[in-house]
Amino acid sequence: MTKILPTNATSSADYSAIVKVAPFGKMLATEELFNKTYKESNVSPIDEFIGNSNKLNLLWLSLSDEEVVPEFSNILFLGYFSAVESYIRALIRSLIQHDIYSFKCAESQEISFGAALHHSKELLPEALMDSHSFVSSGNILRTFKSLTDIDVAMDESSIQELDKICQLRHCCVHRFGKLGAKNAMVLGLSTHSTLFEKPLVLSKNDLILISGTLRSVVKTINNAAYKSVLDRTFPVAPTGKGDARKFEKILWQRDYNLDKGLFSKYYKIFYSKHEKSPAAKEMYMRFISEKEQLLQKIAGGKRQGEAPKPK
Amino acid sequence: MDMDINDKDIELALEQRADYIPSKELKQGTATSDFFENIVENLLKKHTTLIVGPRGCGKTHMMRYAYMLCKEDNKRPLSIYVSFNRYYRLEPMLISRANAISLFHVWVLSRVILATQEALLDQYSDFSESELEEAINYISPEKLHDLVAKLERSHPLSQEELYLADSISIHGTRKIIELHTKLSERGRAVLLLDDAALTLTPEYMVEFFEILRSLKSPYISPKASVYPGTTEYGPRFHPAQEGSVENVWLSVTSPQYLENISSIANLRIKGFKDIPEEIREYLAYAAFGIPRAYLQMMVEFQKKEYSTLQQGLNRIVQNNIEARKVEFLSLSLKVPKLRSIIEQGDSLFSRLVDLLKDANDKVDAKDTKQLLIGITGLNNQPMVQRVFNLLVEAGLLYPVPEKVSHGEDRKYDRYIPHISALLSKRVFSAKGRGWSAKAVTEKLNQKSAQPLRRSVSSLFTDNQLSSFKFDLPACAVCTQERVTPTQKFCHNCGNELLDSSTFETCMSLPLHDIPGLTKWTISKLKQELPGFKTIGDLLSVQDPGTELRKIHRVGQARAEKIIKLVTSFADEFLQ
Repeated sequence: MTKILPTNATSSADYSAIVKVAPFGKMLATEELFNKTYKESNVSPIDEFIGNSNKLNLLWLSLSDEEVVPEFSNILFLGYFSAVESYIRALIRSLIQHDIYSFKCAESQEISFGAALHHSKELLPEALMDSHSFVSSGNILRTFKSLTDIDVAMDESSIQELDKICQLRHCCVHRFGKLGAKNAMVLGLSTHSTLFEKPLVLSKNDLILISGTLRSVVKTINNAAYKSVLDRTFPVAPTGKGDARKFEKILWQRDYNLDKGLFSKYYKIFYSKHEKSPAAKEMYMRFISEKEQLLQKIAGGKRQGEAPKPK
Repeated sequence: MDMDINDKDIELALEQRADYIPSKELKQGTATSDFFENIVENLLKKHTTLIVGPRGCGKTHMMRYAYMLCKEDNKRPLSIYVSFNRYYRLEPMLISRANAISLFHVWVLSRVILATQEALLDQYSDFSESELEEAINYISPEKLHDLVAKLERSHPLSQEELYLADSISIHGTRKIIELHTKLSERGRAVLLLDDAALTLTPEYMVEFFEILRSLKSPYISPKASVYPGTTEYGPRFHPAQEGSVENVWLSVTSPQYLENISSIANLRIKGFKDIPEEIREYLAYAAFGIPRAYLQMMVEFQKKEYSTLQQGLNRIVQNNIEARKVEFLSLSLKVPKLRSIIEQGDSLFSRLVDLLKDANDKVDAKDTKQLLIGITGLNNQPMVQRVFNLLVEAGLLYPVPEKVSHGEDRKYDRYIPHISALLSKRVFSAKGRGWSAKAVTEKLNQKSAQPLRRSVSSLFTDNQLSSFKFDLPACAVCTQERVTPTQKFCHNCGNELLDSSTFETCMSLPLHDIPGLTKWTISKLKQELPGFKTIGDLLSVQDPGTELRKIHRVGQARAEKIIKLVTSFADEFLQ
């Protein structure tokens, strides 16, 4: 008996059925995809970033060069970048919660009604960042300025390295790693003009370099923001001109026992338990002694209107 | 007596260093010789020059002398002298700033720019303010000074300072040097870059030689002083191709050796000629080509604090070699990853000395001496070569320049171990006879025998060779040992593997142990400033002088001397 075998012919009338499509088996219940029991830990933003990056590191550090295939390394790269964005959000949120100057800057800004209704008080500042993205150094620095009113002084090389990585990120998110014309222009046409639509191929060593660079950039932002935030609490130069010239109030009593509580608030926003930051007291002494030296240098000890140092 | 204030010891510790001698005294106290003049001439020529020698061999002296010659003669180039001996102050940035290398780059160029203006102002003519402003490209020297000071204190930069730092470039610096050269009415400039060894920060060293290469122009000739044994100039700088490499280290086997080193001491040591000739020669050999060591030993000898001549000389020579060895061993503190390699180096050095002792006991006592050891097989053993290079860098082994070939496969690297070590081991004192300085120097003046030959495999067992390794610290977070020396992240916990700072280590050294501090000063420091336990405690306060003056009988002058001594120790320790 002859065996009946199917042929390749189709008889469907659907002229759009150019490829086969599997039906939705189950609809996505996004509300079930998030961990409801998770509670925001009180680790500092930088420690959270380090923890996230370390977890990603462990996914591939022990693999061989061949095992880290380009698709895998591109996904990992996006993971590292996501950790950076998450860090910026957490830092700005902490600043608005704990730093009076950042709070004052943010309080006049608007958020959506939904966010106001459902966010807890601690997480409310997150809503301020709904409309902000962190995909270039300019974006990041502008967000700090608009939400906390601090100028984060970053050096040119950190800015350049971050911006290069931002372009690579764009290629991975939107073009499955291929280089777009706009990205090539930002990266430099003289060296990238022949690479249009060529895919990003990150080796294990490249990934080590990128994750290391992002880590250094984030730590640079952390230290620069820490400096700017502290500088604002201890103004050494007068503001305004002529009759309006005045010295802003210094938040510090310049006695560690009296300032301990307030300083600890600032310290905890930026310190890393993971990497054993110097103790709060040491950082306080470094800060106060530098500012006092500056005061002496600027005013030669004749700073008018300044409150005498408490004994 | 021990508890006397006795500032003399502090002064003596300082005065043998060329960087502490005033310009006028330096010029008058300089003994010129063909060897010396040849190197100074090279420093003034148009090509790039590296002058190579260990600490105390006269590199700074020659550079400062070359500077003085140019200053006094309009026909010579404009000479610009810059010392980089404070480079280690920027070392902590290597673990705290992402842009450490760029900041180092800015620091080097800023120091060159400031020294360029100083060189012009040091000329015997006046310049108008507008001429000076134009020549320095309208950069404010005060702001540049502040920037340099901030970088040396590892302080964070303000936005304005970051802008200033970004504006400092190779191109701009070259232009500034050329404008200053024109203003001084000289045809070209020589850049005397002193203390450029930067051995403790290889990352900075590579950048430094890249800067040096880029600053070179038909009108700018860079000259740098470095240590011997260093090979890590970076991928793009090849010393021999860039210009000339001049060995500043006097060889004890040179026919002019005794004449050269004696002429230096004759000018600098009062009553030098009154010291018996055999003593002068004995200590000259013990100095092993290092004038600073010779001067120190002479001064020590003149104190006459000994019961017999032999006992006195033994102690002086022993102290000299011990100081060199301590310096070598301190490398394991400065570069912890070299700890095992340094230990191997220490025992290798003792073995080489023992080998020479046996060889000299055997050679015909009347005709020849044995000073040289030829080693084969170093090229195939990079870690062993590193050990030899470190011994050379510390001045414990003198590398005899050319390679000697005895056929295709037998390349010899020849070395002379430090003569003080050989003298301490009585290598040249014939067995059984009484000791005399004259007998020893007569032996040393004899012809050298053919080198003693050894291969790497005869010096080390296979087990020892396989144990040569870098001592890399475990992960600071999870304490897991590293897998490879170049690892960036811990494979166990994912953390970044950061080294510790050598600068911090140096700052944590006990203040009271600094050589040269008198017993009086140490006891006063302990009693009256008990809070100052480490070097860092003293140097990190805003005004260390004010603190020191709190001690009874310490005024401004004495406080300054103490600070100078502590600073120069830190500078020296971290060179």
